[in-house]
Amino acid sequence: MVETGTVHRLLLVAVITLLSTGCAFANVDVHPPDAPPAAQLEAQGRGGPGRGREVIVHAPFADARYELTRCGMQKNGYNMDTADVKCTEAPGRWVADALAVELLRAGYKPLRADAVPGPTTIVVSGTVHQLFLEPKHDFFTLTVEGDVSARLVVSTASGLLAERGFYVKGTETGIASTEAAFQASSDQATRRIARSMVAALTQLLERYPGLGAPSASAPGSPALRSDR
Amino acid sequence: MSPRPTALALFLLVALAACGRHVVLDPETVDRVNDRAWTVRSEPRPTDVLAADAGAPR
Repeated sequence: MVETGTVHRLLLVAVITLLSTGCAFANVDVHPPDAPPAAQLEAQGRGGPGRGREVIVHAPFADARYELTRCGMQKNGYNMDTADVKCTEAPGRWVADALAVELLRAGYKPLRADAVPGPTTIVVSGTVHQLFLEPKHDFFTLTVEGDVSARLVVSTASGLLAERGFYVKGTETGIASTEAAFQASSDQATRRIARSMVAALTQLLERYPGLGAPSASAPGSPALRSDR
Repeated sequence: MSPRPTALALFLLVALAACGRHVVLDPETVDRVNDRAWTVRSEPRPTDVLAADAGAPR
């Protein structure tokens, strides 16, 4: 027979174990970062490096992630995968929209995929390879890391074809892996990759100043969604 | 608890922690996998050539 004292001690260990894992058994939702209204972004972009160049963004981007069913995992204190992080929007749309926001903020004129390209209109398509959030436990704190990776292909009817891969990380340190921590890490990583893409595009287009000239394409709707 | 089960429990916890899966990359690997430059597969034709093409009879 097992002694009552031993049973009590085992129960105590089990309770402490459960408490130490906190809310790590609950799924978490993350959404794309909030963006200011399009008019505000346009105002910010005036005089920016985009110089009003027109860019058709083929949204959504393709989704080539390894795990297609979730955007991250919750973990307990023992590094065990205990729950899922769910994206409220498909990552292909998520990253393409973030790019359109940053293009507008930098002074470009992002156009939707249904715009008719002229010979020098810049056309951007992409593939998302990673969008994954995961907590990492330190001794006293916890850091939610968010990795976002995508590959962009830039082309024009005049013959330009260029591609580049981007991989960025967002981090949010706290004492627990709450939904807010996941969201903050995701926002940081998304904005970081979108800004990296715009900076790289600007660098590429400096070599070809004739590309993307305003009115190169037939008028198209802005690539930004109406709710932004 | 006697020392043997305690040691076993500790060993299991350490083993569990070590077996945990990591998907995100460490910062050094992120630096390594990030492309530093564009790969230009083909250059655009000059604007004057394009203009000549547009004006040329078909």
